[in-house]
Amino acid sequence: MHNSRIITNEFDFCQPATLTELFGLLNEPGGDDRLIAGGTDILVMMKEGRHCPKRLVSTMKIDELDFIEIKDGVMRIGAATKLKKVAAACREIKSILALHEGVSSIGKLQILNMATIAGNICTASPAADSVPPLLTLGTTLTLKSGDGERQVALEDFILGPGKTAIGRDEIVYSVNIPLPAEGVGSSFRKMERVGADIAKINIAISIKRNGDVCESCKVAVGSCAPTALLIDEPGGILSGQLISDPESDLIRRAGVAVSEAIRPIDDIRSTAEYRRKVAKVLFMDVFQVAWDRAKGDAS
Amino acid sequence: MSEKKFFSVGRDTQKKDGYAKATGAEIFSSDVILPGMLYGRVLRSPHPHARIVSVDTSGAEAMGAVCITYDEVPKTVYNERQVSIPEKTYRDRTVLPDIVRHVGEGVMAVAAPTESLAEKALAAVKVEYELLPGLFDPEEALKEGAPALYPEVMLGDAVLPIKNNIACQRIIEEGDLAEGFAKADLIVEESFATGRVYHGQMETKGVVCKPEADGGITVWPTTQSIHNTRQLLGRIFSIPLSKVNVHRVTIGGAFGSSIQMNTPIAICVALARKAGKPVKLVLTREEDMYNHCKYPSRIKLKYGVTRDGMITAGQLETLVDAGAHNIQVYPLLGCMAGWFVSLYRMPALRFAGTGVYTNKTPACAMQGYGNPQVTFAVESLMDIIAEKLGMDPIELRMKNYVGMGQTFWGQGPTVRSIIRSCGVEEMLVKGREMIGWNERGRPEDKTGRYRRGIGVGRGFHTSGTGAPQPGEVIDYSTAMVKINEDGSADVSTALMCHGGGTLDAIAKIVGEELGIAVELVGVSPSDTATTGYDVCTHATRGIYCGGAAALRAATTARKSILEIAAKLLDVNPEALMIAPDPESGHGLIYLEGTDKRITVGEAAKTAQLKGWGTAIGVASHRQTNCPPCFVTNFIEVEVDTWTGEIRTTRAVAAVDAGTVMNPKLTAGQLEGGLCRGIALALLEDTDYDPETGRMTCNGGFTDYKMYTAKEMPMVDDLQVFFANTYEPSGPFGAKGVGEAANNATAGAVANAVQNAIGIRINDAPMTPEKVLKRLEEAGFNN
Amino acid sequence: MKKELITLTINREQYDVVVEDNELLSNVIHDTIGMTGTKYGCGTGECGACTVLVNGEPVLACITLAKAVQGAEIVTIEGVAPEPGKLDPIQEAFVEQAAIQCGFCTPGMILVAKDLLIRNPKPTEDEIRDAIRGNICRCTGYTSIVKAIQDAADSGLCCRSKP
Ligand SMILES: Cc1cc2nc3c(=O)[nH]c(=O)nc-3n(C[C@H](O)[C@H](O)[C@H](O)COP(=O)(O)OP(=O)(O)OC[C@H]3O[C@@H](n4cnc5c(N)ncnc54)[C@H](O)[C@@H]3O)c2cc1C
Ligand code: FES
Ligand code: FES
Repeated sequence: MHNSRIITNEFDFCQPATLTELFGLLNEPGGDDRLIAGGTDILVMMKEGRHCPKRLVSTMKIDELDFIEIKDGVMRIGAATKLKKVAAACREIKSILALHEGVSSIGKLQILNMATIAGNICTASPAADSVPPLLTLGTTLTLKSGDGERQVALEDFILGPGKTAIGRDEIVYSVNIPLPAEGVGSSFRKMERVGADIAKINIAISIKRNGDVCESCKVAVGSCAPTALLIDEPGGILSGQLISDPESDLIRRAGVAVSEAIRPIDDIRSTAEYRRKVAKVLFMDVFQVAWDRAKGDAS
Repeated sequence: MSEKKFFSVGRDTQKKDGYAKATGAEIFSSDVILPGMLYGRVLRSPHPHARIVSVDTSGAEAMGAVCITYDEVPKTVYNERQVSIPEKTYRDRTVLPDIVRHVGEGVMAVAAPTESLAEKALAAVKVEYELLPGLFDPEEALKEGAPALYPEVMLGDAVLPIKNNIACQRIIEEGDLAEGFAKADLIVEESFATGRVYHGQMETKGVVCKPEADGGITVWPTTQSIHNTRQLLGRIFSIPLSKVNVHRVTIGGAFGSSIQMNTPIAICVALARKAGKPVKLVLTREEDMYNHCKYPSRIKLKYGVTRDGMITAGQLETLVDAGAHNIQVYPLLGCMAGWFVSLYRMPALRFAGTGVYTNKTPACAMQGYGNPQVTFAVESLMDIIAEKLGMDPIELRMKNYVGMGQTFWGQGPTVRSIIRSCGVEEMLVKGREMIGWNERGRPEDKTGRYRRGIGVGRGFHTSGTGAPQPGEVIDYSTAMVKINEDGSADVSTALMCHGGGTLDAIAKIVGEELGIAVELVGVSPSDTATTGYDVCTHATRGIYCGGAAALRAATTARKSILEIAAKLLDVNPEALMIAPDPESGHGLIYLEGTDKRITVGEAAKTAQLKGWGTAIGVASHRQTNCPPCFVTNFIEVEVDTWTGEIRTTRAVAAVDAGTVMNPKLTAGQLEGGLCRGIALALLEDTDYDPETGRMTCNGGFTDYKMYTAKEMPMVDDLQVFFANTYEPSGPFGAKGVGEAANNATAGAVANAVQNAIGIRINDAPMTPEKVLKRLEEAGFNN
Repeated sequence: MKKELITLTINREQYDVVVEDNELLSNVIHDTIGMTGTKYGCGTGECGACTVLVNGEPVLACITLAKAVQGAEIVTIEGVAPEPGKLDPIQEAFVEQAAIQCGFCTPGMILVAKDLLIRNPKPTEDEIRDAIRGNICRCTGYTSIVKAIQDAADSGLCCRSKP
């Protein structure tokens, strides 16, 4: 039985102040390094003995990684930006309210003060609450290493529980969110056992609306497969359709398609059966909210 | 109905430990640090059932760690819980075992200068196990040919062979059952279940032990009973009690989790004695969760009633999954019978309870000791009956409840007394108004996705376990009160405060009797060396039993100071009165209608100078009654019929605690009890993986969920009130509150859910997964 | 393992402590320095009992490496009261409202409330409940705690005194 009061694993803790210094460390031969940002995932896992790195390299003293900027219609968030700051920035932009809601729902106040956006993504938990909204927004990541940088689409980055496409000496540098045009509304919902819990199931939606026509609709569901899933079916059903009533059978059918597309399992938080049943409901809930938000004048 | 106007009792005063707790200065047992102290850690079994073949400590010892194994600890077979008389105490455990019977059971222990060194030493210990088959289902455990957890245990001083893993059994019958059921127009029978809930007290169990030069020990444990801890340690380690001193240390929540002398205490003592140095052993959350849990319940309940709603007979059968040790199943069964019998009158009744061993975390008392479980069943069935009879559920309850002047069983069949105060009707009538009972509607008339329903639940708990004759359960308290030379006073008692304000109430009782403000009454730090015996702060007995002892001690001290004053004022002591000065709070002794007066302080000081001695009182007292503290909950829930999620939207919680000592704290007890009661109904349970014997939540808060502030009703939607009653046998009319607070809740929730969606759910917790399934079966569609 | 002397600024005072790289802030504060108001409740970030303020923000000391907060301003519950014998208005409200039962969750709750009222002097009840959702109290059912925070907000005295 592990001891959650202490970390038994011994490691060196490095806190480089610049990216150059960071890559210098990561490039040292034979290293067994692990990045640490807010530590809210990695330290808990280390207490549980799930990771035993020889060295922890922190990103938190690197000012270059702490930024939020909007340029050319893309919001770029530095990897080490704390969730609280991310949540606040997204609250101001109507079309990405789902991201605001998803990020704000991560843990609780204390976690938002500690944890980072890159940490949430790189943990690659199927339940990570920032991921479904980011997926619906077409997010890409900028990865950097000592040798250069590359862009990866978020859906290509997360490969499975705890698994990402990151290279050994690479880091996530920024999270890049193309800001939607006018007429887009989004919404996020998370179902949890109690407040401040990991999701049983979470869902994000982003709808482009033109009058009463749904031009397009992107949906992502978390905690219902090894990774959060972008689900195309609702888009197929709803795109180009006139939505006379956001509670109509059409929406229900799109919800059923979501339930059918997910691949949930039984775990401590819920059952596969339940997740399947409520996925449809959550879809209908977020659709309605996002539909209203997409209306333009509504906020 | 107060018979007297009080100046101290019943007023909200600042909690005496409030300042220290608000500033972080309060010392809990996990905060005790002694010079030269080592840190202890326990190696825990990864197997649910195994014989320990060998333990190799050489690696740990090479690191300098102190190690103890089964071979090196006393083999005294004991029961952690010391509350029953020895003949009724089942004993099945030793300080460390030779056979582990649940995952997380301690195998051996180490001590080292830091926790991380201790942890390293632990990692170097090698244990060889011979695996034995595990049992996780109580019904399976009862079957012929099931593997045996114990060939035998001790009952008192006798060896008791164990058959079919039955830890103990109790059958209690009264009246002619067959005749009772024959008289019924309607017989209703249902099965109920509640979960294996974890106490979730915020401070994990812990202890610091210092070995003394004279062979004695001084101990700072998390415990609800310093004296029982002392007695057990004395017996296990063969140390005279005069050399075992157990300190009262503030506890970070109890709810029954430290009602017994918890296993780490004996392990820590063994470590400290071997090390010759103080040792601190504080459980991690995971260890704590594998240490104890609430008794889960499986109950089959049957009532016979006449057409006009009078109960003619009742029968309750229960199977209790005790887990790996029989900590207190025997008294539990007696209590479960008592809870059943004392809620509603039955001319004929039968109770049959069986406790069975399984390879799971041992169950022990947790707020209510079987009461929330039984009351959940009874209150659910009451509503079922009312529905079948077409009667208002409140009316059915009014007709049948055990109330004023009637015999009440208290904790088990040996503890009977007459009810002398009863606020049941007042609470039902007033609560019904407050919640808007008449507007609750019928489930069949409700529509829409979100449906609300209102339910009622009654309940009670006994104030202690006192009775006219000695019974199977020990119950008495001791207190000392002395008046200081400046007119302040000290009260010394071994009672604990779990947070609900027990010790503040004791101070108020003493202040009231001495005629001084509560601010002038100090509650002395206490340990077993300087206090008389007190059984335990459990069973909702703190104020009613402990307070009665304190009152008696204060009465003696009062008499003594009045005699001193009488001498000084040259009057008859019986003619003197004391009242506090409204400004200073100091007691003023006076003769009515004259100007003869002297302050308590002046009298005490003069007595000291003249060498007349200290005004002091000591009392060791057993209450001859254990009056019911009644509770009533009205709860409104909202069910999302598309997801099965249930939210508690409004609640009214009422208590009949006699004179309420600390109104705000009492309200807080009700609110807290309500929160835990709702969680019992809707949320909490621990499941075991039969492959590994581990909890599926792994023993941490990551996956053992308790309610947060988000799930509770808003401030204005949660109303609390107190019935206006006065208990003649209680100190200044007081009864208990503690456990009662959560007893009525789960039933009220189940009844509210039924009222919302027309579906009756008998197995708690009613998780969204379960509820949605039932909704679908009932034809609801999302 | 290598030990290192670091300086932590806690409650406006400097503490020189020898730590190993894997040591957690919670244990350094509680065991090494002996400020016992920072509690261990779960060690996995779930209960909030170990909450301290780092640069004014509530964080969980049980999942914070001690070395990561060198140079930061740390405030524990011991640093909230303005002077010995006096209480911060939030602490006072907790005592007055009987929002303290066993008191084990209290330090964490008070620190979270302190931060909340500085950021948002007039929070709604929903905002209060949201802020304390990461702090488990097993005793009170939260009503009295919410009331205490409301009272402290109503007093208007809290937002002024930064800890
Ligand atoms: C009590 C509690 C509640 C929680 N609740 C939620 C919740 O509701 N929803 C949710 O989604 N999560 C939750 N989490 C998980 C966690 O807090 C989040 O995933 C958080 O965002 C992780 O961020 P961090 O900065 O703390 O990551 P860390 O723990 O520091 O790192 C996480 C992982 O990311 C890697 N990493 C960090 N930065 C980089 C980088 N720049 N490049 C590459 N790899 C990197 C690390 O190596 C590590 O593997 C909870 C955790 C706790 C303890
Ligand atoms: S001890 Fe840190 S959150 Fe529980
Ligand atoms: S007061 Fe005990 S946990 Fe909150």
